Amino acid sequence: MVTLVTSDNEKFNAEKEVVERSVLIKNMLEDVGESDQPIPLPMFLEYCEHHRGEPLPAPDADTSQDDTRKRTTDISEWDQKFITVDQEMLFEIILAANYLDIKSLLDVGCKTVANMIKGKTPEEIRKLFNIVNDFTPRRRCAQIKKENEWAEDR
Amino acid sequence: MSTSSFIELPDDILFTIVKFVRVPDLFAARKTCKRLHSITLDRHVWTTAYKTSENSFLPETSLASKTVQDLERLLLRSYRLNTFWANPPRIKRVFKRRISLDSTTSGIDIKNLLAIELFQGRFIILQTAKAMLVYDLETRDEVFRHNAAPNQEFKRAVLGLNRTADYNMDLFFPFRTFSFITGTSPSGSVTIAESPLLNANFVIGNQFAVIHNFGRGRASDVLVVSHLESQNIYPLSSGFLVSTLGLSSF
Repeated sequence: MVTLVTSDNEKFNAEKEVVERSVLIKNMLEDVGESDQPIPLPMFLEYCEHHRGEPLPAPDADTSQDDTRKRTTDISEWDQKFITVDQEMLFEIILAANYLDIKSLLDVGCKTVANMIKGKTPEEIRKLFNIVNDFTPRRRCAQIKKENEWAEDR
Repeated sequence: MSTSSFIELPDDILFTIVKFVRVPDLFAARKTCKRLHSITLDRHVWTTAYKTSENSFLPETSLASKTVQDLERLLLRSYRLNTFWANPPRIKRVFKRRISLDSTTSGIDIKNLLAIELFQGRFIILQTAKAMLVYDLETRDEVFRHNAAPNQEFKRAVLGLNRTADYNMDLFFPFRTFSFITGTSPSGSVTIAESPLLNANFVIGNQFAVIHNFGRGRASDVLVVSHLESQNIYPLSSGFLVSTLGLSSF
């Protein structure tokens, strides 16, 4: 058993096998390092519990695999339910998954974001994510138009 | 805990996200802000999109020789074609429609027609040695026309026919010339005589796309002309093959 302590001093016990889905925690357990990065630990544990026993990606498979992996935004039912959280939490999960190096969770989070912008206009995307339109008017008119000229319907 | 927002996500995460974003959404994202603009212009984004795409209209090509814009173009085009292909609009058939053509108004030598074909009960293709045009019987409009160059004469183009084996002729559409070969095997299926490209898709004069879908896991051999603006699809016929030259140069 491993005890994990969050930044607000909550303690969680988990089996080593479960938390080792995170490459970071695995390495930390080996090195007994320390981190002050806040992470949504209960959710992280829930995710790792659910996916326990599934094969972990090979350590250096990521770059080559990334390119050939199917471009699919399908998310399993359980993951879908798991990731149904508010935006802030979603980005926390993504950041944590990235930080803890849990590839499958990172993908689920990123797919969810990709699904959120599906079919939306630029203005709708800005509204959705609170993005400020920082293009200068001239740049907007000239360059963007040129770049997207052929992409517009004609 | 600090509040997290989309735009505060680090670049490596944004790059992971755009990996899952559909092609048309990448263009929308590009227009939102400078940061997404530069991310969606990254070459790696498009080469990855190309390699991971399951779109059967995407021509197999060497990515190294392509610019980012080439890749975007190919991906977007095949995305649209795939959408039209999956949901082809129903073509309204026209019965009993009279159109009058004379050499003065149509600009082609009606008396010396080389070919006249009716597709889908709606589109009529007329061809002379000097011009080829397609009429839409529904709207009575010319859908497209291509005139031969002064020193050029069209051979007879046979569209979508399996009348006899081994046609090997030139078929002319605006701005594109491609030769095609059809053959009928005993089983009725068609064999590719040369340039065994698995699929073809290209745009004619920015208006029409000619595509066929033999191979690549699809059941039938069909050639269609798709009008990109109206999203209409005009199937030419089954059992028809096009092998094209210069497919990768758009």
